[in-house]
Amino acid sequence: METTSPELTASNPFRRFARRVARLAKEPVLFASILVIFSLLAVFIIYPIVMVLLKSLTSAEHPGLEVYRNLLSSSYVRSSLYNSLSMGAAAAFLSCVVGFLFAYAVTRTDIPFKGFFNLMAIVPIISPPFLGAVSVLLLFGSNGLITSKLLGIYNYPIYGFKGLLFAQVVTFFPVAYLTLKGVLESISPTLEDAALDLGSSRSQVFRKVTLPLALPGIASALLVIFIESLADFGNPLVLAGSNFPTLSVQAYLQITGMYDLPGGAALSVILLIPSITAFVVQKYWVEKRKYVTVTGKPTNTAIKGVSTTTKWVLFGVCAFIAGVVLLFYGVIFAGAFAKLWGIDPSFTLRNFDYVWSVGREAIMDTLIIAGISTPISGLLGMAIAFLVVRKNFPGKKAMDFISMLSFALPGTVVGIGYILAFNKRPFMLTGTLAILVLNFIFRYFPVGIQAGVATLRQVDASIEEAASNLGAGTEKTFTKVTLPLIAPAFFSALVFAFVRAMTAISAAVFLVSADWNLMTVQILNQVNSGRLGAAAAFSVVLIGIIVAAMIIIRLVVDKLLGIRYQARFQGGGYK
Amino acid sequence: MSVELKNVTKRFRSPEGEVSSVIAVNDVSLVIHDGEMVTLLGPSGCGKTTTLRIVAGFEMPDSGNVVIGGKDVTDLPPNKRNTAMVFQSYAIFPHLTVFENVAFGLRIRKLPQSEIESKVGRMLELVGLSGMARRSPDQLSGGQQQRVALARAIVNEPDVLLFDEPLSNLDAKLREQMRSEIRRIQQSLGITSIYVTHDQSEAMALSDRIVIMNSGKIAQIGTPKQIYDTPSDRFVAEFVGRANFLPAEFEGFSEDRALLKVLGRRVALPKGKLGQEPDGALELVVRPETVKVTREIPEDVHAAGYLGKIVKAVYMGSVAEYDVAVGDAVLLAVVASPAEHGIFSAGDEVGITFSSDVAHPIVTRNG
Repeated sequence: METTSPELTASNPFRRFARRVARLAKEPVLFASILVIFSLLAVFIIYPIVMVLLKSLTSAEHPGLEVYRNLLSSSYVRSSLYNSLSMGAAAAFLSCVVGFLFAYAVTRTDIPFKGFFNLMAIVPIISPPFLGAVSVLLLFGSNGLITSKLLGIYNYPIYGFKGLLFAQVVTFFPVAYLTLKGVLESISPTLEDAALDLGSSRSQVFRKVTLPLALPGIASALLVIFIESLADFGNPLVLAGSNFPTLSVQAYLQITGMYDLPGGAALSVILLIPSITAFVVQKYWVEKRKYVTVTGKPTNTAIKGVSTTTKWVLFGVCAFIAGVVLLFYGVIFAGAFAKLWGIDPSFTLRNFDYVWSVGREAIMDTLIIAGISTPISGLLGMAIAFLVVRKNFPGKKAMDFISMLSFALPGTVVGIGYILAFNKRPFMLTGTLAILVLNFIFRYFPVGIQAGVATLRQVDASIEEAASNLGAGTEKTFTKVTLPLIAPAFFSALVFAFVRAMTAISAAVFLVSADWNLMTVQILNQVNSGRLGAAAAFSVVLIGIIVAAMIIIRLVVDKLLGIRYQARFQGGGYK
Repeated sequence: MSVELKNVTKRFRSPEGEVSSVIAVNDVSLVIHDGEMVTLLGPSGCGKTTTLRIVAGFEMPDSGNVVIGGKDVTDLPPNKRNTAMVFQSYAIFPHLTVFENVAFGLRIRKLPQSEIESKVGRMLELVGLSGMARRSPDQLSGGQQQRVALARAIVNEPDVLLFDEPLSNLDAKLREQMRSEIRRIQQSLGITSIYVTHDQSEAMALSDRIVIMNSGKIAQIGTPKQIYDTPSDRFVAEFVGRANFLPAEFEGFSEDRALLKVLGRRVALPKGKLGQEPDGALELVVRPETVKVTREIPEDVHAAGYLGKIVKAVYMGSVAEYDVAVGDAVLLAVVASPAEHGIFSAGDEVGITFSSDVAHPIVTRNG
């Protein structure tokens, strides 16, 4: 092979570009899809952020950049920023520690009850937004089960850093667990065997082989949880209290309490900066450093990575955390069926009667909105994954970046952006069903893209080339070949989109109206007015719907795509 | 249908960054005639697969044109070209049955069900898979999957059939069997075919003509016999088969002979092999199986005989391989059925001869 000088390669970049576009125009469906997706990304992701930025500069008292100087001179805002960042760092660190211990115990030891631990580490993903906060209050609040009943402590100061950190770690450690489980599974145990064989002790194997190989995955999980913690709205709203302000809550209060839209917009911009920074570092720096040791050959090796003592210590830690998760869910169920939490624990269905009478419409609305946005979001995610992995077109990197970016945008920013962007022609959507549906589609499709990209990279590209070679155009190739092959990713994208649509609050709280309301907003109202029993009952109904929906989605996807071949072809990829 | 490549060039960005690029295919021009089977042969990274993918439309050339059956298809996407590829990894659709795999292209063209059934049935018969139509691909062996891939490609009656190292995942016995089957089917249907491989015996057995590629360029085009007997340069001679390269000095022409001095003795080549005075370094390619090893020391100088000494002897059953020192040079000689012709061992003094009619001169121009 010869290497040419840069001048030669750069010769006529315009002609090259024109030729690529001309070639694209010969596949009209592909060309049109790319144009449509770019317009959608521009209107529903970029445009709202731009509106937030512009709005923040229009304050009557402090026009232009003055608004930021004014905000940052306020000690209350400065401490909000500090609180958000330190909470993000602490929650990310603790969640990763817990997630890693779980993942290591499940993939590298032979502790009993692995299936149960795995379940307990995934369950918090389907939590309604206030579940962590409400559980913390039911356990440690003024009438808390542990504080007042067990320990006899009244008015334990659970509001603030401690309570919030506790709720966030329980909510977010599953993210770290799932990432790190994948990473540890992909590290071939033969590498560890090799290190043992070369004379390392078990702890040396862990420090010199396992941990360094897992490090990029850990870094990635840290950054993702940092972003999620910054964006978290439900838990801090309930648990932070006035002595522990955070940016996401302050931006909301600035708008709903003080009717200061530019100020709220400016606060949300301040929140946006660390989020996007962490996202860019995660996407362009950490992801490139991931090691791939997947050989395609299943390697079965006896699990012997840890000593017996370590094994039982890990078991103890896992059992404790699993107990906490169970406790969190247990008190929600108990609280939902109790007459008055902490005072009269006798059984009642009164809370559910109440939920039915005030929340019936919100439940229906939520189901309609989630039902519409879920399939669209899943399909869009798969389509973008297909384009990004398999097709070559100008602007591909931009498409990848913008669509993944929406994951890093805190809901508060997006919510404010949507009310600013879509309250006048040509996009007059305020108060409609459409604004909620669109918001959910574009906020939750990145996970579908990620799952689709990961699965597609496992599928031999020549399978799709064969379809194209046999005369199938891009759309036929996608529906007849690609989609059936990535059905598992499609399934997880649908489940995720549905769960998020059912549990969304941070952006949606700005977008609901009298006509279209959400269960999560109802829960917020109950929590705000101190009716924890009703909030718990709402949460139980929500969890019930999510579990039922997961089963239905599985059945529908299996039926539609006929994935009975999947199980046999998984494992070694499709080679 | 004929296939023509005109000055096709394709660059790829080099993995280390966007500063420089690698030329995968460098100004390749080639005509493949209707019904012909042409093999692209070369080491990995020589550009043969990229060339094939350019014909299929999976890669777009940076410059140059692809013409199939007189029609310029350079800017057409793969699904608009009537080419059919058999992939190295088979690329069988794992979610479809054998029947549906073969019927895929026909269904895209919306043929009536009855026609699809009869065509697929005939095709499965041709490749010897009748009775397996309802199977799922994972119930097939590697060889059977390869047959499905072949049937799926030819059922659409393509203008050009493309093979991308289709046999490299099969074991040696099956490879030979599939090789003759592919040739049989290709000849019976008369489909123009391009076959990419790095296996020279596959190329020799299959092809009407072979295109040897090196570093993105065509090194030589010719029939298997031309390629083997009259390689155009050292690369081709080394890549196809094994060769001794003997440095030679040009001495002049006699009536019908070109006279060379090789290892201190005069060798007279037929004049057709070296028409004019060489304008660079001259070497004589002598295939090891044309080197004869004898116990008697030759006396006749004009028979190009040498005195040699066996340095290394390897007995391999059907042949014996000898490294023979002749002066400062070491020649490789491969002797067939050694049990019949006598076996030598290291240290033996032997006579070495080769016929000047099968030796081939190559000229390496300076610079």
